[in-house]
Amino acid sequence: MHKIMAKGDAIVVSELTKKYCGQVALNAVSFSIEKGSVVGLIGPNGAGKSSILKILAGIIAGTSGDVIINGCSVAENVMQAKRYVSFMPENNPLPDHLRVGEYLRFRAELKGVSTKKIRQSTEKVMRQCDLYYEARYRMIKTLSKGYRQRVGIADAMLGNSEIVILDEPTIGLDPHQIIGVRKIIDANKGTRTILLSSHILSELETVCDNFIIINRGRIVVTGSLDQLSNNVQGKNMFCAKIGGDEQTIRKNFQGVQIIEFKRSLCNEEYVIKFEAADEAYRLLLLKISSNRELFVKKIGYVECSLEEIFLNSTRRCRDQDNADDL
Amino acid sequence: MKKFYTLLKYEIYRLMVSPATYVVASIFTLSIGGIFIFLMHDYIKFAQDIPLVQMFCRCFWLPTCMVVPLLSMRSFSEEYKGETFQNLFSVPVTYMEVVLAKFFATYGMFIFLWLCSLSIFLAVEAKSEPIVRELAFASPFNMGGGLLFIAITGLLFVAIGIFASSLTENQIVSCMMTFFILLALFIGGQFFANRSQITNLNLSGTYQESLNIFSQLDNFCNGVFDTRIVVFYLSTCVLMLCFSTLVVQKKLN
Repeated sequence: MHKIMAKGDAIVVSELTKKYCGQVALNAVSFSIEKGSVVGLIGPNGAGKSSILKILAGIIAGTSGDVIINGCSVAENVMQAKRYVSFMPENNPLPDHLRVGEYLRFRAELKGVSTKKIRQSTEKVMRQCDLYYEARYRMIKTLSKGYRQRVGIADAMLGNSEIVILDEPTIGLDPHQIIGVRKIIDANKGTRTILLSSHILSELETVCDNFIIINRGRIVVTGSLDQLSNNVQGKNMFCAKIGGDEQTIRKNFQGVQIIEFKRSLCNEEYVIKFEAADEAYRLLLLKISSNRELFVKKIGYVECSLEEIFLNSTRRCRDQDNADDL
Repeated sequence: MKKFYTLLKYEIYRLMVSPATYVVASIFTLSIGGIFIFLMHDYIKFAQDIPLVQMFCRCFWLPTCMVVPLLSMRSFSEEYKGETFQNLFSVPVTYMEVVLAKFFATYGMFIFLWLCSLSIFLAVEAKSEPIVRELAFASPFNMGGGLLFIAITGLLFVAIGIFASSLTENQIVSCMMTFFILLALFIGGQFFANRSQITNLNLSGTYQESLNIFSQLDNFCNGVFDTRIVVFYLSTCVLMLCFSTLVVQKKLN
């Protein structure tokens, strides 16, 4: 079943399958990405992330299914689709015999940047990526890992492509450089659609609006952090720190699903993790705040971190697969 | 077309900045010089019925067998190994454009090296006695025809080198593969043509001629420009380049 491209979609992937020598790398993957959004693609090693990114960039072809980039089908018109996309591959392979400036000029020419604007465009991205003063005339083979990554990012940002795909852009970068990459992504937010793949989940959590979690060639879950959090947890998860008698607390918490109930280290209060619908939570709040025997130190919504979501969802997917195998 | 020129420029630059190219050029110059001295020595000692330049052109297989594999081996193998293909094909360029750019850069270098070898003859012409000059060059067709033939056959030889390079990421394997294919073309063609004469194999004259590169060369040196030969080398060159394109496409997918 093909997904229909909505007006605001930059990328629509429908039932995309990729097989390498009969081995399924992607199994009927479908998702869409809104224009101007920053999306993180997450998955364990061998999940099929790089295959998706390479297919989106038009480097390799899918076995079946379709990818539509800005209304243009990659399978039908790969050259046109490539004009919309800039891609920085994993490990960022660069030709060692060129200088940074020469390489970016060469890439600009290939990307179809007009001759008059080549100098201006290359200088702009070199300044953005802190290459202009320190590395412009340096041979690529003499660059450190961090500088090489920056050259790759500068290349991806070069030209007028509306979609930028970065495969592990922050690998090998120090914290300052990671912040630099984050700034570049933030600067392009809204104007360009950015699809990132990374294993540094905290980094993705900071820069991405939406996430796609993939495992064993299948999409496990997609959405914003809140949506993913709800999806993984099922209901809203809350945590409370309450002082008072255990029996009284338990009595008040009737009607909500307690996940964890433990005495805190100082033994004067209890830490309770519980799941509840919005209405149930509101009633509970009223009940415990009016109860004079209880002392509510802290209560609130617990946000799942991306790491927890990732671990939970991929574990769930693995368990499901194992159950299917049995 | 603009992208093709950009790629061609890049490939020529890649060849020019690579130390390996200068090693290849040195090997070529040394072999050409060695062949020339050997032939000159032989030419002075014994009377020959063909001009020196034609004899020289007949030895073209030796530098060709050495230079073409060394020049072409890096074309694709290096890209496979360094994975730079991913970058190259992430921009709107076709497989054919990339193959053609690599082919023409290598072919250009091959022709450039042969044109440099002309300097030996220019030196002889400038410094030698008129009688030696007469014996050595005989007519302008000898030199021109010989070089034209080398240029035409070079199309196929370089295309074979590009094809071999597209098959593997190991440069040594690519080099050896090209070397043996070229050797088989030179020696095998001569061998089958001779064998068909000895054993009276029922081969037509054209077929024999298409096998024997050296008789084709003699024809060109004598001013006989056979368009069938040109079509043969040109079409096989195109075929090899198409195969290379398919191999590269298959390798990436």
